[in-house]
Amino acid sequence: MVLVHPAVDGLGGYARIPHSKPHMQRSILLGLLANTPSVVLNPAWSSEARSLFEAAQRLGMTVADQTAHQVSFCGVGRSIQVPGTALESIGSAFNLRTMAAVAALARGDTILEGNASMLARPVRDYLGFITELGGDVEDLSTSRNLRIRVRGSRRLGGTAHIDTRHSSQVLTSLLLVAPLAEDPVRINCSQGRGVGQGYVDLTVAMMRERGAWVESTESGFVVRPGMYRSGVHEIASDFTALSYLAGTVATAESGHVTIRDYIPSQLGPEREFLHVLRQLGIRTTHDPATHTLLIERVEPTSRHVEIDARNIPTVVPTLAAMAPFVEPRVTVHHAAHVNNHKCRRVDMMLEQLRHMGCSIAPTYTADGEVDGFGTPSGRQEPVGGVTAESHGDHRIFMSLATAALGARLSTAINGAEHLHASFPDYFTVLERVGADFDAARTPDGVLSPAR
Amino acid sequence: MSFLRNKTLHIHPAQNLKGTIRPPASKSYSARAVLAAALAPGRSRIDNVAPSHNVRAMIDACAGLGAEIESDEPGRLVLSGTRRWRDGVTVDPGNSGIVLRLLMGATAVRRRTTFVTPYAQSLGRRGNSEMVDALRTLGVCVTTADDEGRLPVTLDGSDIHGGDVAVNSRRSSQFLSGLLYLGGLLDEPLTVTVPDELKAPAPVLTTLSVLRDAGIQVETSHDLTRYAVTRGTGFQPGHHQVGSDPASTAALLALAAAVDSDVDVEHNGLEELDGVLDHLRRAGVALDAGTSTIHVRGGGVITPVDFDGAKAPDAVLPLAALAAHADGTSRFHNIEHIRYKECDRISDFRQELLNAGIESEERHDELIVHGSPEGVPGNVTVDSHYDHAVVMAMSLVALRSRSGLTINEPQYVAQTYPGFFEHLQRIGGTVTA
Repeated sequence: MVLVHPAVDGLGGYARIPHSKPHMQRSILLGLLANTPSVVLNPAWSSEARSLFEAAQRLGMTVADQTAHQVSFCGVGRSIQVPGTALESIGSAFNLRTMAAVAALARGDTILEGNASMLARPVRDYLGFITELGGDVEDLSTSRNLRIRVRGSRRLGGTAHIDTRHSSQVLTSLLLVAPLAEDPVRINCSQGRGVGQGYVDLTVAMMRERGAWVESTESGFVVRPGMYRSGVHEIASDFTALSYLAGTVATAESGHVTIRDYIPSQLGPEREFLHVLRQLGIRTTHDPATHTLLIERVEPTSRHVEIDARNIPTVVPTLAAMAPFVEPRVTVHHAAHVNNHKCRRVDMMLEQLRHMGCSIAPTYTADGEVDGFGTPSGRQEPVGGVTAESHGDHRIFMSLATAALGARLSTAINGAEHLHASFPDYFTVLERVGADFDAARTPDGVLSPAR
Repeated sequence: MSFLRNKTLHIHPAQNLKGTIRPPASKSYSARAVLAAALAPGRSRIDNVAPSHNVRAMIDACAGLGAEIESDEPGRLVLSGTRRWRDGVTVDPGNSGIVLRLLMGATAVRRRTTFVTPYAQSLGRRGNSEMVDALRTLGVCVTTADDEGRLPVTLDGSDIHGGDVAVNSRRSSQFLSGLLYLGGLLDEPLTVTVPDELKAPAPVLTTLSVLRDAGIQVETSHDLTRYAVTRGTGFQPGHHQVGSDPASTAALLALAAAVDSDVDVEHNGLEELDGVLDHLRRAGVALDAGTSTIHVRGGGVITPVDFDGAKAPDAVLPLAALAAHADGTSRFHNIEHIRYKECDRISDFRQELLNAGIESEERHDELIVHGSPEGVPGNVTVDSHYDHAVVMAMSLVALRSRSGLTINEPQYVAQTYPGFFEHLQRIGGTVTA
C-alpha cells in the first residue's frame, strides 16, 4: 500500500518515462529476421522483452554490444537456427506466438514451452496459420505445461486465416514472418478491424520501414516475398506512461512537468491523446532538438470535450482520473472494450474514483452496456482519505495515484507491486516532480512499491 | 532478391559466360542527386536512380529529415525538398561513408542531428576527424565517440557561420564533398581548401557536377585544392539523370574478361572509370566499346599491367582479382584511400586472396598481386568484410577457380548491386545457397 498526499503546493520538474514495449518487441523480431546488423536505441527491457531477446539469440541472432542506452545485434534473416532445447516463453503469449511463427522458417523442429497459466488461455488455438502456409504444428502439452512443436518449411506461402476477434498477436506474428516466405502470403482476417488494431498498425508500419511489402486488402493483407533491411530502431516513449505525468499536471493544484529523452511514436493513438489533452487544457510542447516535452496547464479549448476511446484504450483509466479535475465537461465514448483488459478497467476506475469522492458516472450503449463515462464541468475537490483498490492492475494503480494528488486528504492505494509491468520507476519519477507520498525504500535508497 | 537472404553462397566455376548484362545505376551519383533534390524547395525528378542499399539509406535519411520522396515508377524518384529540415533527427547512414559524410555537411546547419550506424564493425570503425575538425572551425558543436570522430556523432549548428576552412582529403574526398553541400546551405560564402592531397578526384567531380545541376555555384582551382561556394545561391529543384555504377561496371567487365565469355555490358554512361578500359585492353582483354555497350570476349591470356588507383578507385578490387589470373605480377598504386572504405580494401582483401590461394603483397599505398593463369583450386570459404567490392572481386576468383568459392555474408553486395548474383546466373554463372 502507498499513501499519496495531496499536491497542494503544485508539481514541477523534469521526469523520464519508460520507452515502448510494443516497439521494443517488434524491433527485436525485425532485427532477428534481417540478416544484417541492427541497433536499438533506448531499449525497453521488460521481462517479456528480455525473454524474447534471449529466444532470438537461440534462434541465431548474435549480440555485438549492449549498454543501458543501446543494444547492437545481427539477425539471421531466413537462416533461422533450430535450438537444441525448448524455447521458454515465461507466460508471454506474445513471445510464444511470435516465436512459433519464426520457428516455421527453420529447417527442423522447434519446441516451445509455456507455463501452466498459458494452458488456461487460448494460446494454442490460433496457430493453424503455420500449417496453412506449409509448416506443421503439434500440441504436446501436458496437464501442467504448455508444449508445442513447430516444424519449419523451406517453402512457405499461400493463404492463412486469422481470427482477429480476440487478439492481434497472432496476426502480428504472421505478418512479421510473411516477407520471408518463398511465395506471397495472403492473410484473411475473421473481421475487418479486429481488436488491437493500433498494434497491427504499428507492426505494419515498422515492417514497411524495414523494406517489407505489405498491402491491406478488404479481407486482410497480402505480403510479398522479400527481406528486411537492418537499421537503427529508436524506441519511442511509452505514451501511456506519459499520460500519468500529464495527469498529474491536471490533478495537482498547479505545475508543469518536462519529460526528458522524449521520442514521439509518430503513430495515430499518441497524436490523438495529445490532441485530447489540449482540449482538456493540458498543452504539450515538443522540442525535437532537446528531446523534451513540456506539459503545462493552459485554457481548455472547449467547454464540453467528447472523447472517442476506440484508438486509445490504454489511457482511458488516466482520462477517468483526470476528468474530475479539468474545467470542461468530459464525456468518453466507445470505451467498452477497455473492460476486457487485465480487469474491468472502466468499471473499476469509476468505482474507485467515486469512492474517493469524485463525481463521475458511467454512460451506456443502447443495449445497456457500459460505453464510457462522463463528468460535469468545473474542477472538483474530492475528499479522498480512503483506501483505493487497484485490483492487481498497474494502470489502475497509477491512474488512482494521479487522481489522489488532487484530493483534499491523503489516499491509500493498494497494488503497487504490479508497477513492474510497465513503469517500475514510477515512484522515483513522482518524487522527482515533487509529489509527496509514503512508500518503502530499499536499503540502497530506491523507492519500493511494497510496504 | 532471394540470394540476398542467405548468409553464405557458393559461386561455382564458369565454363562460359554469354549474354547481355546491364549494371545498376551509379550509387555515387544517385546519393548526391537525392541529397541535392531533398534540399531544393520544389519538385525534382531523378531518373535511373540506383537500387543500392546505400542509396536507400540516403533516401530514408532525407525523408526522415523532412523531404517528401516518392517513386512513381521503377528507377524514378520524385522529390519535394525543403531548406527547413527537421531538428533533433537520428540519422542512420547504413554502411555508407558517402551517405554519412554528405549528410554531416547538409545537417550541420540544423540543431542536434545524431548519426548512428548499425555497422559498428565497418562504418563505425571509420574515422571522421577531418570532417569534425572542419565543422568545428565553422562553429558547429560536434560530439563524437572518440578523437577519431567515429560514430555516434551529434552535430548542433545553432552557431554555424561561413568563412575559410581546410579539410584533409588524403584518406577520403567525401569530407570535402560534404562541406561543398554545406556551402550551398550557408548564408555566408564558404571557401574550402585541401591542405594535403586529394587522392580521389573523380568523386569530387561528380559532386561538383550534381551541385552545378542543382544551382550551387562553386569556383574551383585547376588543381582541385581550393573551392569557393558563392553566398546564398541555394539548392534549386531539377532533373537528374543517373549513369551506370562504376564499381559494378568494372566488376562485370573484369568478370567477363576472366573466363571464356562473349558478353555485352550495356550502360547509361560511364562515370568515375577513367583508365579502366585502357587497362583491360593492355591486359589483353578483347573489348569493343560503343556508346552504350561494351562487348567483352574473355578467356584469353591476361597480361600483368600496373594501374593507378587514383583514377578509378572503385575498379581496383575487380582489376586486382583479374590480375590474380595474369601471367606475372601487377601493381596497383596510389590507393591508400581504399584502406578507409567498408573494410581495408588492401589488407582485408589480401587476406581473402590468400584464403583463396593467391599470393600478394602490400605497401601503405600499393597492392601487388602475383598472378597465376590456372586459377585457384577453390572449395574454400572467404569473407565479404561487409564490402560489396570484396564480394564481386571474390566472385571473379570463384568463376575462374576449379571448384568454386563459398562467400560468407554475400548479402553486402546489395550496398551497390542487389541483383548481382541473379545477373551472374543470367549470363551463365552458377550460384547456390
